[in-house]
This record gives sequence, structure tokens and C-alpha cells, in this order.
Amino acid sequence: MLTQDFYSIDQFLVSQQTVPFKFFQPAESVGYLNPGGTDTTINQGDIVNIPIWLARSLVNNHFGQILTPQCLETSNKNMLISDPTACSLSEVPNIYEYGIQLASIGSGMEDHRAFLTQIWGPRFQEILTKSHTYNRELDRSQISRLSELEKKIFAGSTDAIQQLEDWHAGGTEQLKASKLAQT
Amino acid sequence: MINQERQEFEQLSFPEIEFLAEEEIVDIIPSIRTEEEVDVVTGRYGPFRPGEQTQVPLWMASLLRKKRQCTLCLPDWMREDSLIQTLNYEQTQGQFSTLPFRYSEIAKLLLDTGSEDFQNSQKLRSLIHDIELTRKTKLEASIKQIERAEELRVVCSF
Repeated sequence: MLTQDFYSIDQFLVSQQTVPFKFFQPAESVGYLNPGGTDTTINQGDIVNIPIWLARSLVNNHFGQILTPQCLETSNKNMLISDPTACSLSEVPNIYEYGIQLASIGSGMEDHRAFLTQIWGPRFQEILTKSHTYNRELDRSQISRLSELEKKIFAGSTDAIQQLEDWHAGGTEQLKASKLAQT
Repeated sequence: MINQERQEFEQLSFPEIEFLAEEEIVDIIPSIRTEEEVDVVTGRYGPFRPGEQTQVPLWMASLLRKKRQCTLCLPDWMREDSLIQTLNYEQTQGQFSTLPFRYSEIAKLLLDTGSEDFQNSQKLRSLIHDIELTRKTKLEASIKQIERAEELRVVCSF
């Protein structure tokens, strides 16, 4: 799910999210990238929020440096690391994909990969545990705290557990053509 | 797109997994006599002699048992003492014990089809269920050992 996929719409949309970028050189005629600025030129040293895909290209050509985004600042990281399962990721629903794309750029962003792994393990285990006892009427508040990726995993886990229980119970079921045979 | 197709291919349903498990070779004691071998896609089986133990695929064993033309035999790993030993291993050791890849499906098929052939089928079901739960708990606990952000592929059913 977190591997690079050229055809993935989700990864494409995440690459549109912005990161703070510090320009090492002036950039003419692109002042529109800075909504708060009045000049048509981005000056050397300016920090502008630009999409990840643009930042990647600029970093590769040594035009500037990516700065740490707010959601991955040390204070937020420490809060998540202290108790990964208690924190809500509803405000940063694509944090994993966002962090992985940042880490793949390099330029000092590699540490985010280790941080995401550190919070991913306990949260993933919590998701698997909760999916066994999920109650649709009572546990909606818990689902709202999950990121988009975690919600998909939670939904898949609950569906798989339900299918396993149905299979164990046996009984009648509708036979469906295998995916290999479907056109 | 290619990745998505591969993911859909890998997500087999439980009936499909059960279908694949039916290729497992098991022992039966036929109660019918056939003069010639039965030639199927996966090989030739028979000829069958009443009372003479032979090996056939699980789908054939299930079919013959439903027609009351054979008696199913328990695999060695599925005997009560073997399952108790396996369960003890799973509960005390950090590694997984050696079981057939689709042991859960094979056990379910054998017990559903030929429960009358086995003396303690309920006990066997209970032991298989306990082994499944123990392995699942062990697998979930091992998630803590993830140290690198690489794609995690579970290569066996638990």
C-alpha cells in the first residue's frame, strides 16, 4: 500500500499537498506560488508552501531545501511517540503517505520514515485488536481518530473477520466467480 | 493500476482458499471396488479395493465420503496427541510450529465431511481453534518487531 505506484490516484493526490520550501535562489515570475506575497518574484531565502511534486524537482536541481512541515515538527512527533494509540490523526488523514513521499525526496527528510514506523506499529496492532470487538453503534468515535490508511485497514480487517466467521459457521452461500474468471 | 490488479488477485476469498486446499492428498479406506484407475487432471488414483488404504486428493475423498463409499483417515499432524503437542509448542515458543500451509481449511473439510469417522471430532475442532487463536495472537504481537518501513508480506496463513 505504501510502495511507489505511478498509477495510484491516492499517491497523486498526496503529492499535491504542500510543504514549506526555502529557496536558495530567486525565482522570477512565480510569485503566484506565494499567496501572501505581493511580488511576482520569489526572492532568495523566501519560504513558500509548494506541492511535494514541485519540491521534489526543485530539490533535485538544488534550487532550495524542504523544511519540516508543521504536522511533523518535533513537538507533534513527541506527542505521537509518547502514546501512539491515544492520539487522533483526523487532522492529518494522509500522514503516512505524506511522510513517505517526503522521506523519498531525501534532503534531510529521511528521519520521518523511522518516526512513522514507530507510531505505525502500535496503532496497527491496536486496529487489529479492536477489529475483533468492533461495534458499529458504539465505536464510531474511535474510527474518527484514524487516518485514511488506517480506516481502510480497519474496514478490511472487520470484513475479513466477518468472512472468516461466516466461513467457519458454514451454511448456504452464493457462489461467486473467481476473480481469475471475471472479465 | 497494475498494482491494484495484483492486489485483487492476491485477495482470495475463504471459499476459494478452501477450494485450493482440496488439492491436499489424504488417506482414505474405500468401501468400493474399481477395476481401473481414475484419471483426473492432477493425476491418476486407484484402482480402489475395499478395506485397502489409499491416497487421493481431499476433494475426491470428500466426494466419496458423502456417497458413503469410503472412510476418511486422520493425517498424522491432526491426531489429538499431535495437536496437543502443537498447541503446547505454540503457547510456549516464539516461533510457529510446522503445520501444513492450509491446515485450518484441511481440518475443517475433514471434520465437516467425516466427523463420524473420527472418535473425538469435537475435541479436534477445539484444538484446531485454539491453535488458530494462539498463532493469530502471536502474529499480532510480532508487529511490535517491525523496525524498518518496508512492505510487510504475510507469506502463510496463520
